[in-house]
Amino acid sequence: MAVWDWSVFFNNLVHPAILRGVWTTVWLTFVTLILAIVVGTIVALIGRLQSTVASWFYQGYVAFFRATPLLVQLVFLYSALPQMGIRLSVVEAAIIGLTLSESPYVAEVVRSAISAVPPAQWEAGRAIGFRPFTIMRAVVFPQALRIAIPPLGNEFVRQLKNTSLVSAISMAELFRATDNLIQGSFRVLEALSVATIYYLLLTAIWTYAQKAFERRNSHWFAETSAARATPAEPLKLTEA
Amino acid sequence: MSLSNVTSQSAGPFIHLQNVVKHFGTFTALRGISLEIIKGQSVALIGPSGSGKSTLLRCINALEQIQSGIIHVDGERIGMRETAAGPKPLSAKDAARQRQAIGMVFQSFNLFPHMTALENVMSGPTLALGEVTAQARRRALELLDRVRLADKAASFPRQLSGGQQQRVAIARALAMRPNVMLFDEPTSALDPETVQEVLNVIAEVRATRMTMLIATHEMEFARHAADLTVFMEAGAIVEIGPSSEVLTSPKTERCQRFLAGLSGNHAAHRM
Repeated sequence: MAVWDWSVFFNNLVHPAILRGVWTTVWLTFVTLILAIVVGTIVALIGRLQSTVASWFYQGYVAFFRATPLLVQLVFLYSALPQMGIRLSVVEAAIIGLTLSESPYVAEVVRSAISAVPPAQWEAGRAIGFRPFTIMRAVVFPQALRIAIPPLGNEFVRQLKNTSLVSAISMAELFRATDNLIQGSFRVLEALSVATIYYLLLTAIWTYAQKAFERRNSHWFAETSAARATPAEPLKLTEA
Repeated sequence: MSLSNVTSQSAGPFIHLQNVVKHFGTFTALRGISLEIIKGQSVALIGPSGSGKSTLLRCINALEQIQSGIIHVDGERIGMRETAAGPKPLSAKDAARQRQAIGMVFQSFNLFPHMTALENVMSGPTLALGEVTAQARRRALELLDRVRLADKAASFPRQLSGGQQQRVAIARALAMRPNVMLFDEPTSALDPETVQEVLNVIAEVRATRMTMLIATHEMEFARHAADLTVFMEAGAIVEIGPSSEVLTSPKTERCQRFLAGLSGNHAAHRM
């Protein structure tokens, strides 16, 4: 048996099961990250409430879901809950597990992004006569978003890799699909190389998309784009 | 002028502070301030840094909670409502509504950096008052024109000089059609060459008979643009009177010393 077999490699590269696995990994990453952003943002907003109970809830939530391994959470959701009469499908367990395990990280990103907006911005909103919700929605959130995008991009990459763990509860995402091929052919090197290439490719596409999104969301902040916005007239820093 | 304005004017001072006390922890920022300002009056607050000028302004629109005393603006008690069980703090919604009638301009402008100059000026009417966009836009452009920045409507704050940002901030406050304007050292953060353009705009606001309070270190401006000047020190009002008197022949020794200290350096040629 040759060390490296190109035909196996190319066969794996376009194998329908692998392509289905890639697609599963992609949608699972997007869906669970979006859900984690929703849940994490709500948790972060609860954490900002000026109440002891809310603060306990926040700290407890973050501590619990950060301290327990995703693999343990997944197996618990899929295999332990039925013992309590709650039966989840593989997909349900995967979505819930990935969402909950990711949400405390998002909550911390959102919380710190909101606190990074200067208090003077809240004050300016209050002085105009905005209600607290309006200040949050129209003044603080857009500015916090710019701060949160790079760390949230990180979370996307982490989540992309985390999806490989749902193979443990038999969901046929990219890693499980790869593993299935290995079981049939015993060509480990070619199959894992294909999986690695797809993970790299997905991360590269994401990184590119993230950069574009960052530019779009901070056009008001970047010095370079500020100069571009008024091409006819150079930036005047002082005016007599 | 509406009927309610006439009645509130005849009922007493437009801004009325009675024995206002403000602590920050163990530090007493205001030690029982009492002050009456009638409608249309322009009042300058002067005094050394830390004397309580800014705190006083921030208490008038309830950005700071006072520990005791009473503040009324246009007959309304600021930050509190009367109940059968005594005064209670206003709900966030009512406090917001109260602030809508009180314009504030900050030392550091505090424009919203993610909005253009035009969007900043429109933000109050659209987001706080629910005005329709087209109408708010038209008025915002008028206001930007009034502060001579019509050509900067599409610029973001970072693209504007300090003086331009402050003029946008004044337009943003005026967009709410306030009946009081509070200026918290509006020119202290500016380059010297942009101070005058901001002072000119403030003088124009005053010409509309706006009731206003200005914490300032610009003594010449106070003399021309303020009917009354209040000299504060250590959280108390030391001297109050017509600007021409307080600024040219102060009665108290402390005010004399403060003004003499200023004229010793940069203000010498202005006094």
